[in-house]
Amino acid sequence: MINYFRLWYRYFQVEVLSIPSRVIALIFFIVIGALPFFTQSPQVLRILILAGIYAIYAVSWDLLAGHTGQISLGHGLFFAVTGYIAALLNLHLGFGPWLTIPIGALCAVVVGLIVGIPALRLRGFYLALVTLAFPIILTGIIFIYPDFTGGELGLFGISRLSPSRLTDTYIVYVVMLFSVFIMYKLTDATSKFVRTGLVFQAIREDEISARKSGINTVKYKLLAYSVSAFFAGIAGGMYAHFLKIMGPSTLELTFSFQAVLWAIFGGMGTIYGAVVGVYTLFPFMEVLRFFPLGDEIRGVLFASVLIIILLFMPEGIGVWVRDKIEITCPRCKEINIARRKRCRICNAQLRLDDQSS
Amino acid sequence: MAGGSDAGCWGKFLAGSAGGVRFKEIGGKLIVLFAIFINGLLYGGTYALLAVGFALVFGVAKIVNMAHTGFYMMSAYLIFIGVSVLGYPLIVAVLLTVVGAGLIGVIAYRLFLDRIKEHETAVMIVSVGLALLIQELLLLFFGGHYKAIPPFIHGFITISDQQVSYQSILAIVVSAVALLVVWFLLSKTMLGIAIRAAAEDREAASLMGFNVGRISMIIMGISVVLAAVASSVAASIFTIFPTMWLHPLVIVLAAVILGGLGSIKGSVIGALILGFAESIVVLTVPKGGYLGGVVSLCIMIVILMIRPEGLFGITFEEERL
Amino acid sequence: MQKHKASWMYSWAACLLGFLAVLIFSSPGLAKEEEVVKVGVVAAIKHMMGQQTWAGAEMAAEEINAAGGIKVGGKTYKIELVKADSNEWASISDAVGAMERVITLDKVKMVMGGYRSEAVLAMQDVAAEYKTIYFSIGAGHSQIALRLVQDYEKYKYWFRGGKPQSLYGGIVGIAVVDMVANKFKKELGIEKPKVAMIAEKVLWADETLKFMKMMCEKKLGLEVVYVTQPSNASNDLRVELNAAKASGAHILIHLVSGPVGVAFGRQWGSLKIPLAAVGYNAEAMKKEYWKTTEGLCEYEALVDYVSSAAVNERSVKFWKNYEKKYNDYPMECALSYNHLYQWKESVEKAGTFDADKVIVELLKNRFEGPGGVYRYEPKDAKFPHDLVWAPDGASTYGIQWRKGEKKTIWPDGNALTWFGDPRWKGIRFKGTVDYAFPPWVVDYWKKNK
Repeated sequence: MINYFRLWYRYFQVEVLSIPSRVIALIFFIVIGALPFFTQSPQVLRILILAGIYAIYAVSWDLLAGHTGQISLGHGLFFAVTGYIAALLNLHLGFGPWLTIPIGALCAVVVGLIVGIPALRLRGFYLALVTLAFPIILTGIIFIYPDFTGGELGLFGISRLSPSRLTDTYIVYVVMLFSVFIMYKLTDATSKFVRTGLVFQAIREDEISARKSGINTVKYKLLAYSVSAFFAGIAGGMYAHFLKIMGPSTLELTFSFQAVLWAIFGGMGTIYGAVVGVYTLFPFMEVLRFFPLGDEIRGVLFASVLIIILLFMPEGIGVWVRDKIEITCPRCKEINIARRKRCRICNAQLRLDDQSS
Repeated sequence: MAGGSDAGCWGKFLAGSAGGVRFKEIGGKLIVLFAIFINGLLYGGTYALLAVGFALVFGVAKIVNMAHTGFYMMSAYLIFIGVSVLGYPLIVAVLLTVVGAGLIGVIAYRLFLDRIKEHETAVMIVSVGLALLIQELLLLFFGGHYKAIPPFIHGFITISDQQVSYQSILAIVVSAVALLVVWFLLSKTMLGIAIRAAAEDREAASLMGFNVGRISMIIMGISVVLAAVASSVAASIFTIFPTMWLHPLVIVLAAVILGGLGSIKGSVIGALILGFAESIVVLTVPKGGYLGGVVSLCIMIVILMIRPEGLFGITFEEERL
Repeated sequence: MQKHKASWMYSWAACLLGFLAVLIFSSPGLAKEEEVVKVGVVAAIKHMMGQQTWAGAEMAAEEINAAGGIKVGGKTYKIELVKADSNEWASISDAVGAMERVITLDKVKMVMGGYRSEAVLAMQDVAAEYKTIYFSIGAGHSQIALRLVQDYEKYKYWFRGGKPQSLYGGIVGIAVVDMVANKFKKELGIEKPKVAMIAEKVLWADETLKFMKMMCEKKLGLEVVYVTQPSNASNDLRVELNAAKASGAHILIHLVSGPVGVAFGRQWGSLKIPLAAVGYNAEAMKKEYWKTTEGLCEYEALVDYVSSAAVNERSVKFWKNYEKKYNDYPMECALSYNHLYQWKESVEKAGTFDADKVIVELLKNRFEGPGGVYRYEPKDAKFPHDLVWAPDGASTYGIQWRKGEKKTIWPDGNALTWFGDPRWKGIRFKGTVDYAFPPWVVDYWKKNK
């Protein structure tokens, strides 16, 4: 038994403690999880909850766009569809959030498959701009049937996610952890258990070649759409139950752009980048509002910070930091801390131009 | 007090006849056709000017410039500042704006877009950031107020009982002239040959001795100048406000995609198709006038389903998905 | 090259840090000697509505503070306004966040603001959760009040600021249409003038459109020959205007705001569309509108919330001071002025800031100010906590643009016979003028009788 734990600890030491980015991620998640023990100010909890929801949303975009290369500029569609379905189920049938959110997310999967069909024939910017059309079309539909969808007013009177904001925070936190972890694993190209990560990347890099290698790209592209839509949907459902109102504002172009901004700001195609993007930009913008001057110019500041960061770190801030603290061994592809000279596993020289050793 | 608040009373009424009156009943077909024609040309012309600029930048510099309609909005505000704040005559303000906007476009290109253009997605997001920056600066200085700039010519002409303002006719003429100038520039001048060469194959153009970097910069300037021209004639018909870039952006993207990315001819035709589609919807389904943009997008999706590379785009058969 | 890049980055970082420092020091944290009570204004501060809300509240707060402040339980309190950007046109969660922040961090006792119906519903929830009195300013949807019918105890903290356009604006709008129709009959000999309607596709306009169309047909007996609903982002109405003309209508009811509003005034005037324009145009209420439309909006008649005519003593003073101080006309959203006074009077009566007790007093309160008499519908009314409608209540007025000024044209002293409301008989404030036809309308209809 003790040996078993020792084995786990050993594994933990090798796979987590010796890799700086994983240590940072671990500390980060512990801090986020422990923050409510120190302050239960509704403001802080609110930021935590929304950041958690947006993190799932941004990561789901990254899975689709960053990993599979299916750039979507209308990702708010999945978010909103689930929000609306959850709201309707809750209002008309009285289902609780535990039922409405998964059902809503499954509906989002269906929508994802519908949107995925044009994606089978399009790619690149053609695809990006076609996806941009879908939320606008859905807005039109919502305005045509205001009796059912609430039209411009939206649907209100939705029941809360949980009785108190503190439990809300932890529900969102746990869901966020699981969702991000699942999506991380699904897109992990070096994984030994699932091959989706590898296939997604192959499709992104060269779809024709991937198909020629015998990969059923249609299946995998639709899979990427379903998974991405599902998780965006989970985020949308929680959003509806947290705000207790669901309106067409989530279908606006700017909301879909948000996911893209966050993910690319943090680093596209990395999953963790999207999380970094959300957890830096979103609280930053919220904190600005505490100052009268900040409230006035936060829009300008947001745009400037975005431009400046991307000018100097076009790969995203997350990737930039990671490149500074980590180095991959050229021989065995294991990750090392950047100040090492030789690989911790195979003792190969890490930098070829390093003459000192 | 009582009569009006009876919700049930007007509920019944709604179910009845809130629908719009059909045009056939009120005006006759000729008016409809004429109005569709004028409006389609006006919308289509403005969108075409914007779409051509967008397509040129994409073709030559390989940048998806989401800030393109942001520059269109910026030009409208520059004219507004010139006329209403500084008190210049309209024509002076417009000329200054066209030159100034071109310069700003070039500067923005050098400062922001050129540096990171190898990162395709990052450059797209930076251009979104630029558009947001323009929007937020305008919001900061002018607030969310609705402004207008005066037309070049006041007054209107009555054609078959339709009142058409001189300014709309001017807008159509100017768009057509500007498009012709672009066509002349591209097909008859040395610069045009360089541009087309760079659009066709950057590397080959480089090897032939063209300075592709400089061509990209010039193209960016031309594209923003076209946006400024569009806004100088169209913005005096429309209202200007800090989020006015979003709707044209969607239409321009749709037009460019519809015509085939990078194809100049395609983007003009795409813009005209969408301009006419919008005016047909507004005219024939009065109650659904707000659906103009939605219908344009549906047309785009349908056409792309049939021809994934757009109307005039080119793909190699073996690269088709 | 690398080094150069790095130094660039340091300077950027330094700029950013310096900037944050400025932000932190610029925030007000200075201790104040006297007792203050905070009131929140959660408004779209970059938009006309938010600026008006802030201006109205600021005027009221300055007046109240200059007169000594609020007297509660032997102490006097000065009012301190807290401004927060609701940013509701971009994000509903921002509006909710701003609302929560002023309540939990700034500990305000009352909040005013909210325009977009979707945002007001969400803010209403926050007010209910924190049991804070909340006056929504601009959203006119009747649904918002119906929540109180369902759960009064929970939502009783909400009071409607603005008046639902569908009912109040609609009735006055129809009154003006009636006035214009009678004038057509009398002066141009047109027995049954026809009506065309242009309403942008948004909620309030939808409701008002249905209401006004029904009233025109059922009560006034006027035929509605053309209805169109352009998008609320559309900024071009030339086609719709020409179609309205082609339909042979005489009166053009327009329900527009924002970009559509400006487009309407400019294009109706510049194309000289031969229809008498009557309606609701949020943009046309601004002073700037005359300049924006280059005077083309002359003769446009509309429903407005504040009148320059002598409605009561306070309203005249308010109009004058407001125009002097902000170089604009006060509009609906500036009536946050009234709410601050109502709240102040109720707090003083209740002798406490406790929301539950203040609500009781608020329901009894009667305040005569700009926009008429402000008092609230009781708990068991059809629309609880809505403003009671005129004449002995809040009123809307018919106005017309004439030579760069907004002139009041309604109430004109006639009873609303079609509505079965005789109380308006004889009500005509000093400064009211008669409606005048645009000259091109007269010319056209004389020619094409």
